[in-house]
Amino acid sequence: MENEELIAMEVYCDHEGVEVSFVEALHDRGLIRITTVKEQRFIDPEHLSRVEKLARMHYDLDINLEGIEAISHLLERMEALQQDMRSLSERLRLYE
Amino acid sequence: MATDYYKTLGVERNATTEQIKAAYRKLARKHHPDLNPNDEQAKKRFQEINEANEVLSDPESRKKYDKYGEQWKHADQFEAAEKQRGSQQARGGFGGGDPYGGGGYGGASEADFADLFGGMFGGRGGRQVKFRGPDYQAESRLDLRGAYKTHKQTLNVNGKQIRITVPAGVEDGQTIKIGGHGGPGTNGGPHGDLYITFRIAPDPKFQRVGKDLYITETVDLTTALLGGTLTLDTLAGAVKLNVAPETQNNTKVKLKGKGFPVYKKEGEFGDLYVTYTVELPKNLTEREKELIKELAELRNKA
Repeated sequence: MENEELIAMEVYCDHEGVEVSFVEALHDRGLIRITTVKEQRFIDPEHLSRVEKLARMHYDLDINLEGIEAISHLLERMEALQQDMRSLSERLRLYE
Repeated sequence: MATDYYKTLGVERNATTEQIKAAYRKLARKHHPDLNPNDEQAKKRFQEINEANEVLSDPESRKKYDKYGEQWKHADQFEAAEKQRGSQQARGGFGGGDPYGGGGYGGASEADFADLFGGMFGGRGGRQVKFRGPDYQAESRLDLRGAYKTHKQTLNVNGKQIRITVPAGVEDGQTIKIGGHGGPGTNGGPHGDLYITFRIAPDPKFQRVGKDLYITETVDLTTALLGGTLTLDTLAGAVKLNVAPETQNNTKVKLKGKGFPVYKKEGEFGDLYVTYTVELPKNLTEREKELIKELAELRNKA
């Protein structure tokens, strides 16, 4: 049952036209998680939409891996800042 | 309003396919929703850029667009009508002008436009084989009272009715994932996911900060001075409050557990903070003035 939830990396790459080395590089840089079960590699389902997003950056927007890595960190910070901004705006409304 | 795809991409009408591709990538790197999370303006701009690129990067569509402008999608129908007009000239044809009337195809254009955008998220450009369906994004608007209780809600996502349970305590801007309710997959692949972002309208009475609520309550002068009780309508129902004697203006009291429910922690609530605003009486009678003067004298002597 658990294995049904996992997405075989090679199958995903084949269907999506994404190079296996690209997904491996994302994993090596700590941007996504790959699980190995009985010598077969799977993409963590929680990370699938992230893989798709990073693949769009690479293949559709022509951004190289170094750029993707930098952008990923900046996006994480940006999302955290947006969250902070929302809670600060809430607090600020108390004084309006 | 007419859309000029060349202007959208910032290229000349005689631009090469390579120049179009380069212009699209440059603009997409700036406005792509992946790089601009929670930015509706960037999303809208990217849709325009994407639509322009889809049309201009395909030589066939580009040719049609150059000839028919915005109505390029109906080029085949125009051409068929053109031919028919030639053969039916004796009967007066379609009477000249736009044979399809104004705006009659608005609905169809919108659907096509959505397809163009949806296609961007399905897989690499132009590939027919796809694995997993695209994720859908939806927004649900609630008021504060709506977010206070767990309730069912029916959402219309791409023409499909989806019934979801909204857990009490959702935050403004919070996104929840409904697995498998996105676009259908192909080749037996799974559906994508549906992401719903909640937008909670501010309440005129209560201010919410995370799990706590804040309210300002007016207390009349005598109750503030001598103490007393007042009834406060909270989201949990009416609560009787004891106002301490000599309560000062802007005094804040905490009502434990009368705040907002904590998301996915049943039975756990934040606190309610009540700030008292002491209201000074107006239109004093002569007798009241006398008594206050008496009070003033007493206070001055003390």
